[in-house]
Amino acid sequence: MAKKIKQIAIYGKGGIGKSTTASNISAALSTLGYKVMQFGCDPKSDSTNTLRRGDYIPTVLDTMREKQTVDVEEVIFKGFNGIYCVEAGGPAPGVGCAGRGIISAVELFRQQHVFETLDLDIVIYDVLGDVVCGGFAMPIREGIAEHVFTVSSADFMAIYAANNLFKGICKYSNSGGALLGGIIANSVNKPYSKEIIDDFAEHTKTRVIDYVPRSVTVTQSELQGKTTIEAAPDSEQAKIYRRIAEKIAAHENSYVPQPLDGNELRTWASKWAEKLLELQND
Amino acid sequence: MSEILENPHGNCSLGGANAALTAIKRVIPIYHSGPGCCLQTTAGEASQGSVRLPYYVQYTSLPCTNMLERDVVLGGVDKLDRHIAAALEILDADAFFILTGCTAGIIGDDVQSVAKKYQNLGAPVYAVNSAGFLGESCRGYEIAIKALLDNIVEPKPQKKNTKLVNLLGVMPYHDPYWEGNLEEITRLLKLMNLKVNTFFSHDQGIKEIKSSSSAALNIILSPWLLKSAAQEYEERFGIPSLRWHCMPLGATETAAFLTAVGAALGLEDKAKKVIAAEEKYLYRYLETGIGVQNWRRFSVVGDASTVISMTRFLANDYSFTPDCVIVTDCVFRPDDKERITDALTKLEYSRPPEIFFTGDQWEINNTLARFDQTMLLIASTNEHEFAMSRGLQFFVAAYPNSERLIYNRTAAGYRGALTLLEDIYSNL
Repeated sequence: MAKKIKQIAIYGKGGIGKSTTASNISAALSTLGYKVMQFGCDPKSDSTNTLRRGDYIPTVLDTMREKQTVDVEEVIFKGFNGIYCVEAGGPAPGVGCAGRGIISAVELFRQQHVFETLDLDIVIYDVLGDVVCGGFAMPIREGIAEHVFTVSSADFMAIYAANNLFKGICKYSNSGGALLGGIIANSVNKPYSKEIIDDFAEHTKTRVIDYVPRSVTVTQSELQGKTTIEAAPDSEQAKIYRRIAEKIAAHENSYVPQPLDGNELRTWASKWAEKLLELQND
Repeated sequence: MSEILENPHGNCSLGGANAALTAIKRVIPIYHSGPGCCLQTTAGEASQGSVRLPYYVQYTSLPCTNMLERDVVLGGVDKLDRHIAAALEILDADAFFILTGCTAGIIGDDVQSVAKKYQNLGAPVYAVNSAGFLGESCRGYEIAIKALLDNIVEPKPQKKNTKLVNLLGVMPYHDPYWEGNLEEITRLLKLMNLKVNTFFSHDQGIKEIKSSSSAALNIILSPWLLKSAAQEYEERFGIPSLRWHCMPLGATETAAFLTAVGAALGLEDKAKKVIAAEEKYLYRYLETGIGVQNWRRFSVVGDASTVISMTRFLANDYSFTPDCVIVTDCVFRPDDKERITDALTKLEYSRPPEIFFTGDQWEINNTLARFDQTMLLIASTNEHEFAMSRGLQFFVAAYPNSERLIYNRTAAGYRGALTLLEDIYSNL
């Protein structure tokens, strides 16, 4: 019996630090001895940049555009510590269908049994987080990722995106789709940031698996085209990423979240708006 | 794939998948597609092969979700769900296959989960990603076989049936002679005491497809189709494949084919006996034609299996001279092209024909025009006009065929050799 490959999807609102988190987790997992692939599912195709010294790599869709048949070996590139990096890519902005692009790219890898051939332990899909159409939900369907983690800050828009993702997970949960592993709270510096995310987790019956503070070390590392794990392995921030990686490697049981509906989310948000206003006036 | 084809010699993958699945007894597809796809693909693929229609359900009796703008924007799975419920209520079938068209494929509707819901309720409903843009008919046929492997074929066969073979690689309807051909090859294999699963034809159904995992051998009658299916049968069930480069036709090719089957199954003596008896039958007729029939230079246009079969029979067994052979299949792997070219050029003694790979009518007509010595053209309805303009003797043996009713007529084996010659020397 072949070993089971752990497939994880990381979703989050654009710009929230999802790729940074995903790349650092991939890097940390690889230093822990796992064979890892990071699969960027964002038309911007910059998910794996910091695993490759800032290099952009040809995407699955670029190759598909040029050739009739795509050999997956042409779109897999090795990054830091032997991590396999893939970018699904997308059409030129304003044309085509990015969602279908994700479907085509993921299907291609499934058809060619790439994960089994490479004998991977863990695959991390880094996905644009708003789950705007069927294509972006592809990684959470049956037979692809099993566990979903969402990266969210305490910003309302990030929480809104996380809530949307929970809705997507609920939809597919009855048909063998991925379940939620937990929330990775990002850019948590102010005490109230932690409280907001904790409160959201409580309301949606979910759990925060860890808190990542905003840190200049991350920015410095990224400016060098590296993950924090590579550039500053002994830093506090690297320790946090390693801790999250260990938790993800050990993670077994995911669950169905209970997203808030439109009204509930608005009421919840306005309650926090008032609280924050009070804090400001204090 | 990005080329523009004039008068294509095939349909989209949805058409190919539909033609294959509707050729199985008591199977109904449920279309999850735009309103035009259902009619276009059933009319385009299934009914343009042999001027007839699938016998269980067809055309407007097929359930279709008729996806409209609303379903594209909001997602179409709820509508699909309702259609499946309605289909199950009023239609009786052993299996329902949800076929997705381009629309559902682009928006990424998760049909798998809808199918799962019905499977959990005990209904035989299966999802097939068959969006037209995935390819042409051949791809659709491969998608259909994969759907059968995923959903119908018995995953844990109890024991191997050493007398059972699966006969694959013949595309229902796309090959105008498909049913007669399957009958003839089955007849011959039965003479070798074998039981034959053909999946598609009137006496076959879900039961035979299920049992295919306990077969002793897969016989694939195509130079290039079903590579991954062959691999899957081998890996999952330990069933080896015998790939034969065409539909065997005539004494030389069919004897070689039966000898190969005999060798694969340890039935060499049986094969020899069948060959001897069949040749006796065939040659008794052929003798009566000597001195009456005259020689031809010929060209063939059609799918890979058909052109190889016609060329090898007429050149090897009948001393005709092949001029030009055009393969209209979208053959994309270089090694497949090589295998096809080999089969067409390594002839017994005839000078090999020139070979072209194209499905474009303009290119086909221009190419054919260069061979002005050709007297006989065996091709599809698409080439009829060209043949008329040149005064060539012409008959249809490949897709599309919208001019010739073919029920069980065969262009395979020993009997097929006789009927094919009857065709060539009729209406002269």
